[in-house]
Amino acid sequence: MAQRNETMEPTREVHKAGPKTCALVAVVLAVITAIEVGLFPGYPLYTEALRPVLVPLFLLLGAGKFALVASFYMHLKYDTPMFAGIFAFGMTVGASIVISVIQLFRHFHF
Amino acid sequence: MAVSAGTLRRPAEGGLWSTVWEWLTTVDHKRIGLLYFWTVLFWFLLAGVEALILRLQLARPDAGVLTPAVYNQLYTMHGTLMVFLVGTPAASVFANMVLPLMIGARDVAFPRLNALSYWVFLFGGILLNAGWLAGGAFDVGWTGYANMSTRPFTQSIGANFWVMGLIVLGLSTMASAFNFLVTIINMRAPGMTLMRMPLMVWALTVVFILVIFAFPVLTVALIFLWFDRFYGTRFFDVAAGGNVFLWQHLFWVFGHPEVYILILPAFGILSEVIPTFSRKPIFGYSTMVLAMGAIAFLGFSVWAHHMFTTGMGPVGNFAFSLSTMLIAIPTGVKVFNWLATMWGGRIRWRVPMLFAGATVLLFILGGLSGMMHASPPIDSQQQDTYFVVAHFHYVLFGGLVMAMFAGVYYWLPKLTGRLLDEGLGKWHFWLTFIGFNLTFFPMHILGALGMPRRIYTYPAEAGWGGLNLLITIGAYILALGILVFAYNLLRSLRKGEPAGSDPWDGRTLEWSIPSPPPEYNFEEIPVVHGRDAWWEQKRQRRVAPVGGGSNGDPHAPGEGHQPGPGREVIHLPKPSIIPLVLALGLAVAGVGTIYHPAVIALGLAITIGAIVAWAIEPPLQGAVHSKE
Amino acid sequence: MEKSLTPHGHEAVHPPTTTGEDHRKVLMWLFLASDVLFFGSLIATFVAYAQRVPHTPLHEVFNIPITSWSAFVLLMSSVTMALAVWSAHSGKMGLMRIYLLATVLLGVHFLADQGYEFYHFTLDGFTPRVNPVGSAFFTLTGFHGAHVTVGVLWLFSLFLASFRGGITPKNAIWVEIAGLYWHFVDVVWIVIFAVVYLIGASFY
Repeated sequence: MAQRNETMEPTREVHKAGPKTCALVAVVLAVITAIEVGLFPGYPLYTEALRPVLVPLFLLLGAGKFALVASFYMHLKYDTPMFAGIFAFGMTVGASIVISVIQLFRHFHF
Repeated sequence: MAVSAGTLRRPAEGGLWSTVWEWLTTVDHKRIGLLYFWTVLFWFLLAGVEALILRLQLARPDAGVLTPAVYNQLYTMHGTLMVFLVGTPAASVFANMVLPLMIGARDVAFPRLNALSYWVFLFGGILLNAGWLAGGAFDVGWTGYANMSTRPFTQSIGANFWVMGLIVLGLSTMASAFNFLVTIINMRAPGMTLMRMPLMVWALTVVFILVIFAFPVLTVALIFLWFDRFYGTRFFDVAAGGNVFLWQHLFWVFGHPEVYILILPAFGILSEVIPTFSRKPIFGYSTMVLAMGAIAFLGFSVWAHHMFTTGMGPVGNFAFSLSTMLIAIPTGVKVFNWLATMWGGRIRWRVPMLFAGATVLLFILGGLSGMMHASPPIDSQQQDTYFVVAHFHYVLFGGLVMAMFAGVYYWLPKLTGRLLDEGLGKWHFWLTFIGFNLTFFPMHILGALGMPRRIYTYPAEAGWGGLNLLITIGAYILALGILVFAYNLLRSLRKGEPAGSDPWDGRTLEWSIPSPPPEYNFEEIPVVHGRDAWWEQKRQRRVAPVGGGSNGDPHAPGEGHQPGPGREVIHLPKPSIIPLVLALGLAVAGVGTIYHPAVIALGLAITIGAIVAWAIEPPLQGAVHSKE
Repeated sequence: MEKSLTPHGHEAVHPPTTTGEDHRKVLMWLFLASDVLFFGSLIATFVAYAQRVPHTPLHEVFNIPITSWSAFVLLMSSVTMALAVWSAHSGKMGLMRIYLLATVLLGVHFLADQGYEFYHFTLDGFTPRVNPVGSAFFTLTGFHGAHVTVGVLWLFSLFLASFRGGITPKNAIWVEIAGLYWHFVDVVWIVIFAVVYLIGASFY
């Protein structure tokens, strides 16, 4: 083929997320999981005072793990923003629908 | 060896069987497009006949042409077929026929996956309709509302076929969407930036984005219904605490983006046909793209306007009413742009343009009644009346089907090499246009008078008899128009006037290559320097002819054709029977869920065997040289 | 007409793409984005029902220590997967095989845990047929398990193919897209673990 499109990027591979990064991320993931489980009612980190904020806490910790896996292990941090864009669009649409449906059922449909 | 042009009509070398084998194993998007086209046409005619039978029953009050049970099955299957086997695959029909040609690609990204999409679509359609033969079709309406569709309320085996058929069809639609999105993202010709893509390609892009995000939700709803019907789960069992609004939410979270999946291919067709026949570039290209983007995003936020009467409270109703009214803005932008494109143009009223012009008019009427539904108090009055039936037939027949006719007259000659007859086309147009309005306009009035949709019959005292008779007459005039169309199609295959490469003096790249195109589409991949690439190329050649290329001659060394090396190597995908086998395996497994686990095992065995064979089979055949 | 592929194999055959990214990788990302909606609908159903429908108390049924362990196992399989992708790109084929096999074994471990868990839930009377929340729970986690199973089979077939020369640094893309799928299955479990297990058993 004579010519490449101007939107073309050179392919960059290989040096993404090496063993060091992988291990570091793994440690953080393990620690967050430990905190999550520790916060479960009856477990060491839990106190009654935390009960009202337990849902956002769990969601936040889960989102942190999600973001770490997605950006380092799935290479979204290193890859073209197109992939992050595709995934973010799905996540945005998905999350809005999930939240709306849950709220509608919470307040109206029973 | 040089591959001769016109492989689509190449005479079979080894007789009938080898021709059939060629079509069964084809991975060429143009052939798959034709397969899609004829299959969709068949379902369209079947669903149309179902509607004609319904109209016989409704022509007079207290009629008994059909039993109520058959009536329910007919209207359910009419709706299901028109939505899932005619409207939804419209995008795949036109994408296969012209999308790679419009972006200057030699094929789609995954040719075998493309063939798989078609075969799954074919078998899924058969599965969906198999209820008729197995003892009665599905009968609770195309929306399949649970818990009416659960086993205690519908024992009919047709419901089982409906559920499995739709799950299988969803796989086909999604596979096709993934494939074309990768093709659009990754296989554009050099210089074809996103903002230089023809609007048809943009429209299809948005359709496929909607498909990949909406269909999983429908699949989940269908899986719930399937599990409830077959395995005794309790998703929609009200006695156990299940909630029937769950089905409605999931169905319409899919169902409203689905509305745009249906109508956007029509928008794309209009955006190509209108500029070509007005001999002007499209007015407001970037606003057209933005409008479609806005529709894609807003399309996911309006679903509950189908549920205003379910009691979502003032906040819910207000929010969904607002988003529904908002989405009218980008739609209006598109209508004004089409009108502005025609304004001041030298319009040639050829058949494609007649259909395109009528589509704009009818779509405006359908859109206006849609805006009425956006207001919850008005919607509460119109809910489940013939007013709604009038509305969605104006957008889906008046919008989508009329535009599809425009698209067929416009693009089919590119694939068959022969034009459809202009005179017959005009008969087709006027019969369809008059019949359509006679059929569907009076439904507004009947709806306002209070006639509910989906009723088997009505008493004479209701006073709806006259209008209903008029509607039935209109429906048969419409059918006559479709018959003329079918005759015109078949006639064109043998006796049609040869199309030549550029019969309409077109603007986009598909008109730069012969009709029918060679198997590899483009001998040399064109280089694009702006929108309406082929039009610009022709214009510049008229100003300063290079090498004496005549208008429409694809071999002329114009600006778009870089002088390539003498022999360019083109790798064609290898024909394969595996997609057909895989699709068959899925269909067998689907039938097995209805009848016997052993059949599921057989189907899965075929499927897994086909997947393994797929992974092993080399995807490409040997190199083919375009020139010698 | 040449019958065989060019000597360069597949690399020479694929013309450069518009974005420079491999078709298969773009396809995988589109699929994953679409799958978000699939799992999103399942999760929405579970939560919508769990918050309102009378059902088996989740905190009496769920075994948080065991599920935490299996969540940890799946999380660690993501680490080995990421290392397998890195090894494949770096041409360390032996290392890649070890990491692929480790990922497969961790995946199988997770599936075994899920089987054990399902079995005990059923003994406790929490089944897909007992109430809508049971239906939603088993459908959601069951489909996740099915995704894991597909991933295990896929990775194992790559492991086998690597011995027959099917995986080379040049087509490490196969490992990479299988990896994307595997990580996605893992992040879905991160959400399920937080929403269904931790929040579910804390409040319902």
